[in-house]
Amino acid sequence: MTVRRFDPTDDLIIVKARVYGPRGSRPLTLALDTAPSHTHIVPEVIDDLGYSPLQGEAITSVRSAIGKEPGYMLRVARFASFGFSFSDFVVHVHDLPEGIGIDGLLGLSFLKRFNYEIRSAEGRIIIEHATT
Amino acid sequence: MNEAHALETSDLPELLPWAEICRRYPDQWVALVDIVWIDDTDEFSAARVAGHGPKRADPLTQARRFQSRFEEIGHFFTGRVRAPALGLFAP
Repeated sequence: MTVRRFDPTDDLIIVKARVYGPRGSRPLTLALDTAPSHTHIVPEVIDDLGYSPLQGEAITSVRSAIGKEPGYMLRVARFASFGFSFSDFVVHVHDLPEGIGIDGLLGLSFLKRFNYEIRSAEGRIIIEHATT
Repeated sequence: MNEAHALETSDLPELLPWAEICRRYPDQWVALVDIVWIDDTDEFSAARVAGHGPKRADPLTQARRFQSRFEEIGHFFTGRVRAPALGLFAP
């Protein structure tokens, strides 16, 4: 079981994650969000890691706060958060508003592999890998 | 710090705690190298600022000069995280 702390006064539940690519790894900040089915990463980080949209597995389109955003699905070499790491992890690459201070969203594609408890007032997430 | 490490790091930005990074580069995106992680947490005690700027891509571009020396380049925002007024996704 792993416990991570977050600032309960923030507008979003902020967690750290790490994406790996041809040019190394990028620790970054994501908002934990149980709504999106996928984990989202902004293109600036993905491009910097040495990936190309040509490696994308599907083109996507998302209605976001900044309009209808084109994106794509990409299989990254490795993705890690909460001390758990997965190889060949598929992320959704698309833009997010610049000023909100996050690099993406930690969505259900990651979270569904775990049982977790979000204790919002305490600013704690308790997470354990699902055994089944 | 031994002499070899001192020489290696002499041309790098200074090692700073996160609070000081936030004070020097308020409300900016920063790229961090030589991050000193605290064991078994996702927190770090200090890092070197390899790039900074108001746009998300700014620090990553600046940090490319360090890419041959550091596989790990952290990308963080020093300001307050804010949820967009209309939500992240439109229904």
